Amino acid sequence: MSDPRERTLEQALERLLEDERHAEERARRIVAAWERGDEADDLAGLDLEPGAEGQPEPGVAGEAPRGRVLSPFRRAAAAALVAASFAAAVWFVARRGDDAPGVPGPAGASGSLVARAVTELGVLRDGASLRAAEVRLGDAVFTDDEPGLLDLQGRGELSLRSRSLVAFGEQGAALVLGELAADAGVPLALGVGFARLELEAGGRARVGLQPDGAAVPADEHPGLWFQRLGDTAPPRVLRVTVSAGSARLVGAGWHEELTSGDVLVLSEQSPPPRALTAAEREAVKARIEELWPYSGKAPVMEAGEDALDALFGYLDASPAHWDVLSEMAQADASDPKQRIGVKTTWVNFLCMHDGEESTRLLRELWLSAPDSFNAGNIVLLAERGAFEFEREVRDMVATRDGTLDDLLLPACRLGADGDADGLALLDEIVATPVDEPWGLVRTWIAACALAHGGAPRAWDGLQASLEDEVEESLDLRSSPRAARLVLLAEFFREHRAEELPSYGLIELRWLAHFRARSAEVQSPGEIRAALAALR
Amino acid sequence: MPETEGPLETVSSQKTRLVEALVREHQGAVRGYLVVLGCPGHLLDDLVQDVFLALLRARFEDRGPASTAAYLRKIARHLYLKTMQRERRQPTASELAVAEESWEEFQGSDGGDRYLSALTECLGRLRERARSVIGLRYEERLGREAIAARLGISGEGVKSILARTKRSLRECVQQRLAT
Repeated sequence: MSDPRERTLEQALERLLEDERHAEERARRIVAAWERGDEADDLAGLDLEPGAEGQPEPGVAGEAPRGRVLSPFRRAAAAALVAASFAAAVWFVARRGDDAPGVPGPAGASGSLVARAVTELGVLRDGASLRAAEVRLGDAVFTDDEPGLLDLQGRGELSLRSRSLVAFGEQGAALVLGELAADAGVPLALGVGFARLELEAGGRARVGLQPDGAAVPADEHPGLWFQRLGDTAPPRVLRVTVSAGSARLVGAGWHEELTSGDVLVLSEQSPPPRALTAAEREAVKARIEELWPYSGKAPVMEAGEDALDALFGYLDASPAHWDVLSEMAQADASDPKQRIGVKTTWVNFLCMHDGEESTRLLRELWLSAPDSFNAGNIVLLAERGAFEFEREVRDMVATRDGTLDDLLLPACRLGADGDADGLALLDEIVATPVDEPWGLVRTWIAACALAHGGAPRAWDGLQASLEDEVEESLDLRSSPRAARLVLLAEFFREHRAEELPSYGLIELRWLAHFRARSAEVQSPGEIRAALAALR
Repeated sequence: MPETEGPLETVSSQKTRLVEALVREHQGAVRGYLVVLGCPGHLLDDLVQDVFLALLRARFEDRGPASTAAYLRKIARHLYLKTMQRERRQPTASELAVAEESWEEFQGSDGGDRYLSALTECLGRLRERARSVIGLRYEERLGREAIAARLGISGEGVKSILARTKRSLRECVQQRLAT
């Protein structure tokens, strides 16, 4: 399955269509396992104590199945003791401890357990660095290349992105550097560098803290590097995105109320911060529209690199600018009445920017407007490491769902890496009779990918026949075809020489080359000169 | 002892009925959630069972279906991550985030009723061959080769029809949800 949306459909089909008997059978098996006293597999590390579900109120006192599951006989005996509770229609009761979660303040005695990681993470404890799943008061937790998930003992969860550092002190958890998503089971306060984020119960927020303008040495962990610098550490930029509920950001002498959908970006050096006002947002939007290079009809690339650079430069100047652009794109993408052309333009435009912000936005658009993505977009994003697009590429090749033109670039993506399905599809493509003029380009792209994937026969064939084909075209007074062949050879020989070729933008790059060179390679003399230069 | 046998049996069977009701009410959502997270098919039944056993083992208080569902999801997520770690197929944080978003989109504010209703309408618009393949796959739970044998087409043909049909169903549902 290619992505979560497909899996969503999969489970919906199952729920809708599956014969009731199958569901009944499964339910019977689960109840039988419970009656046998079976244990859930590998519960080590899970906190299923009362309150872990994030219910804020204390429960009803009484007996409950706890610890290991009782045998049927003992269960019956225990059940007699709780008959009164059953009579009150409470089928399970919980006995809550005295440590009902609340806003983290003093989290307990020094060294007491404050969080538990699903997988072991890096932990700084008493001056030593170790790997641990249990996090204690006074620890600092860091992730390397892999993200980590922390359960705050019934208070909520913190999902740490890679290369982040979170410290656990008397005031609770505090992000030092990096990025995390906080999911508050109860009212939760979180240190976020130079401010404190207070989330209401059920609130969710994404928080990032990065050095403002200072580069982290490549061989150092960003959080540890920042901590090591101490007083000389650079100021940080804080970015808070509230995705559910409301939150309050509190700093020294200021505070900001945030609700779901709000994004706040501020620097440690800036004056008392605030979210962009409506007027400021409008001003940013107006500036984006002013710089917008899209003419309404022309492909994005035709706007020219200067126009794109001007807009990207403005967007990169502040995360708030990206936020405004993101809102504009999302509004168009989710508007069912909006023309598909507008949506595809957004996607094509964003694909021209190779950065974290654009990739994040494209991933969001993929969820709301997947039809706006063409094969080149999908391959490009797969090449940039977005897993859902990689799966889509594999799915397209596996199912061969589409025309040869639809499948060409996905097949290149896989075939150039030596994937058997991709190579087989590319073989089919180069063996397909060519319709001028695009078919010729398709053949060269496929042959180039085959050569990258270790099957150079088609490529070698194109090179061997190049001169004859060009001369034959000239003899037939077909200079445009002859010129195209020479330009194809120019472009693809360069592409073939690349060690890690990208196929996501290859069509646009080819068009750019063709437009730049076609005026210079028109007459038979110019064509023969260009051909001679290739020898 | 005969005097106590009756009441004990009654309470025990009453408890079993309550557990059965719990499983019946929530197993569809737990399965669905695990599928959307990315749980491989061969692990799905075991994980669903483990989720309920973990809930039954924990000291848990019933505070209504929504609270129970939230708790089950939490357990499911933990057990899924644990299992994937053991299988060395751990999802990344962004994969998880995208999956969670998809699940929330599906659930909406009505537990998925709107999505399922849209899907029902879209299924009604399928052509006969596509409807047959979907029916054999999801109603009768047949594998690709069995469907191929039943319909007299190749396994690859079934795969292709399934992929195309699911894609068009996805688009149809999205269109309906957007209007």
